[in-house]
Amino acid sequence: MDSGAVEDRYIEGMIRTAEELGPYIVVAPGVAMPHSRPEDGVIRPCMALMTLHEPIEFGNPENDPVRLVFAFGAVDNEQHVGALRQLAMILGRFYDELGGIDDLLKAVTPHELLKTMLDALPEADVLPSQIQAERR
Amino acid sequence: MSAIEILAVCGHGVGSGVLAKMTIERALRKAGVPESDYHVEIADIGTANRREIDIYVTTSGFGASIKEWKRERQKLVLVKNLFSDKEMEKALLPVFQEVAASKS
Repeated sequence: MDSGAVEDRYIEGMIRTAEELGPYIVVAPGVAMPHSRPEDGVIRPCMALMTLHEPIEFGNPENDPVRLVFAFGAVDNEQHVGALRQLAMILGRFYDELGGIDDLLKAVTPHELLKTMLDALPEADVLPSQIQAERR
Repeated sequence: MSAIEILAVCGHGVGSGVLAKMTIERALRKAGVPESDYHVEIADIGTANRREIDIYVTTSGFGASIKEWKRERQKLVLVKNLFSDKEMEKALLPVFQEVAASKS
């Protein structure tokens, strides 16, 4: 929100989504992805990551408690798909090959966390300009 | 055989449905299923009820409402981790093969 990627009302949209549709935003064990519809105030595609030192129950019996939160905003059905694909590749590796997301939670700084994530991404998939943008 | 129609269902059609579609496609590719054998689309729960669909894939949160209206021949696959190719393979492949056998 502070970077101007979404309007204030997008936050309300995300909360409304969670209330109306239930805790389905907990898309994997320990991981929630709050979002709403593009028309709820998204200015440009964006994603924010937060780790929770104190895990939170979202009301999803299969995947609670939540320890990693990826909030995102989409402007349409396409522009954010590349970013989601990379995120899915990274988290897929953690779940299927690295035994879960514990290593992501060990990171103390945002930079460390990003590095742990990018290290898990196949090199061919990392665009230098993208890393720069993400590390700013 | 006509392509098997798979629908990844989520709340708004931009988040978990997109993740599910990716995982479905990766799982089928890894299993060596030719791309011409299937077609994966994404829909929000409000527009998911479609006659042509063979297999619905979603998380348990939407499973109950799909069960209410899905046709008898339509299959429902529920997964809990939308990032795990392994879980998707395990849940989807047997159902996919069953549908493929009934269509051929």
